[in-house]
Amino acid sequence: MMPASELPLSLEDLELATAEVLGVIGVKFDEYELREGTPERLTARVAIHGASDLDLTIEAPAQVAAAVAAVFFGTDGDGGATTDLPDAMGELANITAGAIKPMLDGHWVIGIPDRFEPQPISSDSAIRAIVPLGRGVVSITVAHSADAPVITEAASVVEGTMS
Amino acid sequence: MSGEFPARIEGATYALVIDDSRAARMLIGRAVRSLGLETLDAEHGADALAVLEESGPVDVMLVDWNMPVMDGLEFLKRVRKIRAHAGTSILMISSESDPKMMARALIAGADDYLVKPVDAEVIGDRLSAMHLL
Repeated sequence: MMPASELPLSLEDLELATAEVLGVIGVKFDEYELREGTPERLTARVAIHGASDLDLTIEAPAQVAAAVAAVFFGTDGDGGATTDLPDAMGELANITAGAIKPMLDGHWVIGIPDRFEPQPISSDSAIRAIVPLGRGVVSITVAHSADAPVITEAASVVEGTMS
Repeated sequence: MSGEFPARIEGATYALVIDDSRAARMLIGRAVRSLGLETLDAEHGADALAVLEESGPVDVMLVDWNMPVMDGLEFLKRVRKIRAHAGTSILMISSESDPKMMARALIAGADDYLVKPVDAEVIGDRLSAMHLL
């Protein structure tokens, strides 16, 4: 396990990037009608490769994910298709990774977003920004890939929800 | 995606939105349509080449960088070698903000580069600069 102090950015950097992204996207909070089968929490992960291998992961309650999806899909007041929520979360992870990249020294490349199964991770090896949004919070974590949550194609949390 | 687009509207300006995220395609596509353009879309570079082969040239392409199958940079290199698309305006829209990567995109054939997130106003400014509005 690599200590969080060896990560190439600080919690303040992550909070700043997150606030910038959410501010520009302009998420609005209504009560979103969620489709049957929507998981309670949505997740997305994107790898950032450079001087080391990092994972940026995002978790949010379904209502918050629906608010994000409503911005992308233009579906105010509608939670959108269940398959749209993970896609919207993936794009949010992608944009957030893009926002933290300029804060990293050297050359870094962003991967393609995917899903992950949330697993406990020590605060000693990760930095995590907790952002209150509407009726929930978005949790954005950066860790070295070796310490990040395990990737699963059919994670139980999102099973049956991806296109 | 390929095979799903309707017949062309005569006189309309067409944009091809290429992004693996449906969320991003929707957001960018909506912004472009709000500016009066018609849109086609594709999920990655290879899909975009298939769309172009079937639809013929478009007026502008808005291309993501990080995509599966064929990424935006490879797409740029390939589409610029096709005579019919050599002069088409290409706007790269990516979360990649590294100046060196932006330079690579411009060298490979992009006319301009925007860093996500983007909105209709920013896209409109760039399309105006390309004399498409």
